[in-house]
Amino acid sequence: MRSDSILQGRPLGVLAKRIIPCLDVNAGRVVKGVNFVNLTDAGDPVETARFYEQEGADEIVFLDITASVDNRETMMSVVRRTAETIFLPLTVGGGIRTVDDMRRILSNGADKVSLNTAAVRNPELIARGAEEFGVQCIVVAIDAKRAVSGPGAPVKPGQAAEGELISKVGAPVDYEVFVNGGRTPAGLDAVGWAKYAVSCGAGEILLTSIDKDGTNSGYDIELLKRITKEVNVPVIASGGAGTLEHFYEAIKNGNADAVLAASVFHFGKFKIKQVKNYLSEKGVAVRL
Amino acid sequence: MKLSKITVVDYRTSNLLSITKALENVGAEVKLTQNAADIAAAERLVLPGVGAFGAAMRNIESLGIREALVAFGKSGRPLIGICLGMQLLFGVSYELGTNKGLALIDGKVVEFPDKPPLKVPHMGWNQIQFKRNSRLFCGVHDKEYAYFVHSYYVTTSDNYVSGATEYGVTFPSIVEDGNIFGIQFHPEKSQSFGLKILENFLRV
Repeated sequence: MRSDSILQGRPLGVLAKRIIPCLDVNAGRVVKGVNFVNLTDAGDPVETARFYEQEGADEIVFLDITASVDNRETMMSVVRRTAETIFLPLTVGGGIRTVDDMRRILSNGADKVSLNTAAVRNPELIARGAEEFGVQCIVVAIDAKRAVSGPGAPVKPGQAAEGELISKVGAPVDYEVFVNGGRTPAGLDAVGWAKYAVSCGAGEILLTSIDKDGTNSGYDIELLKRITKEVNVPVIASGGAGTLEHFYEAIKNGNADAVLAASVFHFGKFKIKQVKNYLSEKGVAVRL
Repeated sequence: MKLSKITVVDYRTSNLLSITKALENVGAEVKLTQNAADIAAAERLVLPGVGAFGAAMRNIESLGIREALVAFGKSGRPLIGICLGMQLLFGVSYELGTNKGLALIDGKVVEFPDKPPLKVPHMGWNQIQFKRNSRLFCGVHDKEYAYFVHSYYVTTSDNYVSGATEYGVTFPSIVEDGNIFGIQFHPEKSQSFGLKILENFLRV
């Protein structure tokens, strides 16, 4: 490149840290209702997503918690109508078991799919999705819980009694992966699983702390640190946001690339803009 | 608003729902096509795209639309390539081997250098710095954020660079040569900024 090029400089690209509202959708309706007076139908995912777009969300996550297979078509319609209405990246998770499931969601306008239980049961699904659609489409969601024996407390390989936690490779774990909506221990160490998922083709990790989720007591910074140190894909922090500082800590101390929250946004505790202004004042690059 | 007719090339690599809806949102009447005659007859053309360069060019060849695309580009009618579609406007790409592009603008497509902690693909919201005046910039501001997803970028003469973005390197995120435009980000995922860029393209 010529020395007088207009592209010269000392660039170190700074991607904006993303603020992501997450909507749980059941049978085509937002659950844990959104609490905004200016929405005519707070239960409509499309309208809620549009509201968040206007609020300055950088991305929208839909988590389909529909139990019945019949209602999958309802979710496809929600995805499609959302993609037709809002012009933001859209991630859809929940109940995805096959490459065909992924294709249907992506062809209805989602940008990424989020895999959880099915990826744990069959990690090859990650690889097949990445081959078919590109790593940028494949998010692996990890629900992690601090080991009952406490972080750092060693569990002897092969001696884990029921209720104790041990990874499949036999090493002690501090954080264990849970599946089926956080109900079933998977017997996997969260850090090891995250690394493995990335090696299979996960382009992003959505990391939820089960201990912190719903507590409003802050993200699990230790968990974030451990995972962000070990993987070279973006990590979305989830679970525990309750104050503006919590968002900052997840980014600054936990090295999160994005922060996800549900209730603090849904119940109107914070506007997304407010979080962004706060982060910006603290020197974090955000899209204002 | 009067509808602008716009033809979007569907060469089977990408989901066109979002780009179609974004164009309609800013007043376009969209026609999707896979054939050369439609391209030849188009008033203005969008070449979208995600996926790998080589696979995209093979699809373009197998649909028999390569020459029509080149002829359209040379006709002076407005053409915009988006993301991979931008890269296809250039001569050669080194993604998964060496593949020739449409060569409407001089330049090549190369991979981001591995510079930890920067992650590849370059995915997320990053800023567009204006490098010159452009018809695409009406009503948008310098250093606004746009949404990117890509692992390769274009290197070309400064003469064609209207907007640039920093990510380990400074790379062209908006190029233009006459009425041929290329944008590396996804306007259909870049909220009001992206929509405005598309709207401005409709006015070219």
